[in-house]
Amino acid sequence: MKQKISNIQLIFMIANLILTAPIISLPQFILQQGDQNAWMVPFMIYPFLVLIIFVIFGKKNKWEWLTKLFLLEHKRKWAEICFIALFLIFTIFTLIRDLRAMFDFIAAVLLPTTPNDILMVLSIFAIIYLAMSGIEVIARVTAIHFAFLFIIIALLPFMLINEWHFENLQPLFGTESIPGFLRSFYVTFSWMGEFLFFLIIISNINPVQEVRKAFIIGTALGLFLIFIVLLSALAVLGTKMIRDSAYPSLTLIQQINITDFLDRLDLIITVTWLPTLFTKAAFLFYAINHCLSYLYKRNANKFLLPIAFCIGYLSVLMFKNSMDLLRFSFYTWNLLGLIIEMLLICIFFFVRRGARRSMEEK
Amino acid sequence: MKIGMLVVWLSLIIYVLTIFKEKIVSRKERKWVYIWVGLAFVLSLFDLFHIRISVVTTFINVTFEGISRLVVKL
Repeated sequence: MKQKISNIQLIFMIANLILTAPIISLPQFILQQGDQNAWMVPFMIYPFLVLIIFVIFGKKNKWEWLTKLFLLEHKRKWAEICFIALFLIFTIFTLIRDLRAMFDFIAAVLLPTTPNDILMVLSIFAIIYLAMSGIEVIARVTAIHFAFLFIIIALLPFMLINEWHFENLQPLFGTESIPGFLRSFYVTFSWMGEFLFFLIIISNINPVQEVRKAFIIGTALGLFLIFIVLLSALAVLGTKMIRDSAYPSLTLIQQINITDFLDRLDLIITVTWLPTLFTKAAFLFYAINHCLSYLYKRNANKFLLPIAFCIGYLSVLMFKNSMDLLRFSFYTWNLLGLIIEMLLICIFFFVRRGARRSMEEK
Repeated sequence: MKIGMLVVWLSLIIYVLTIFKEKIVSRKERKWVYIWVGLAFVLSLFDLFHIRISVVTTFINVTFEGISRLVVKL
């Protein structure tokens, strides 16, 4: 029986996908580019993402074709094969980047004496267990953990209220800040465009009539949380301190001092955030499995364990060190990700046309 | 010898034994099991001998990073 997820679960999954991996160190680069006005970047990106969503889904009330996309049992079309092949490359690159960022973060902050390969093996076991269980399990686990993360991030400005320095946000606006805006926009867009990953499971969403709304709300939720993190980081740490910090979000939550004895909340918050990163990785593994199953013409779940080890090892071997990863994430991925995302949208039009035609013929 | 590598090898051996014993894969599909397990084994050896395969990353970085560096503030 085909697994189905609800629109609420899809909203949580999209927000989780947009938020969890970029939050590791992307705020540093966004704030470095946009200075004190960079917190407005999510508001600039949102209309573009909504426009892309409208372009992808087209007119309302004609969405039956969505239920027929990328099904293993259907006759395969060349447009779908091209889309799946490009999507597979996109997913593998994203997964390798996110896994390495996660291992580096854990090795630097939580378990400094644990070797990277052990972190990789243990994480892969946990992630693969989720991914093999199917999209329903991933969606449920994401919803549970994301709810906690949402509460924590929403409370972040209040927990840090005694540390806010409003002069860090000044001067506000001005024509001289436009180049900074545009630079921040450029570095952020390819990361936010990763919501396109959910096109692969579009036929698993029930009811499909509300899918466009779910995409719009999910991206809004994710961007809203990023806005809170950016604004809090700017107001509390300031641009100078953020530039010198490898993990600005961690530095930010380390500033929480609610009382004299509640000053090490950073570990609790990190432990709440890490499972959401695991669920994102599990979804990406599920997407890879779906793509391989489509190309292989039958379920490829049985090959997922060695494939997961290969991707885990690639995440360790493909980057010489953390600086190499940052170079890839901040300079290369902005353009490469953007190109792949635009290509995916273009190919999706052909996929959509083919799916609509076959619906009309029936 | 790294402990992570030992765990990976042990997991792969158990995986291969289980998948063949329970007849989860057909005779035609066996080659894919060998390919993926072999690839994971080779990559674990690369990790053991500290052979970085950053050629792909370096190539992509050199190709795309230049354009990004024209846009962003260094």
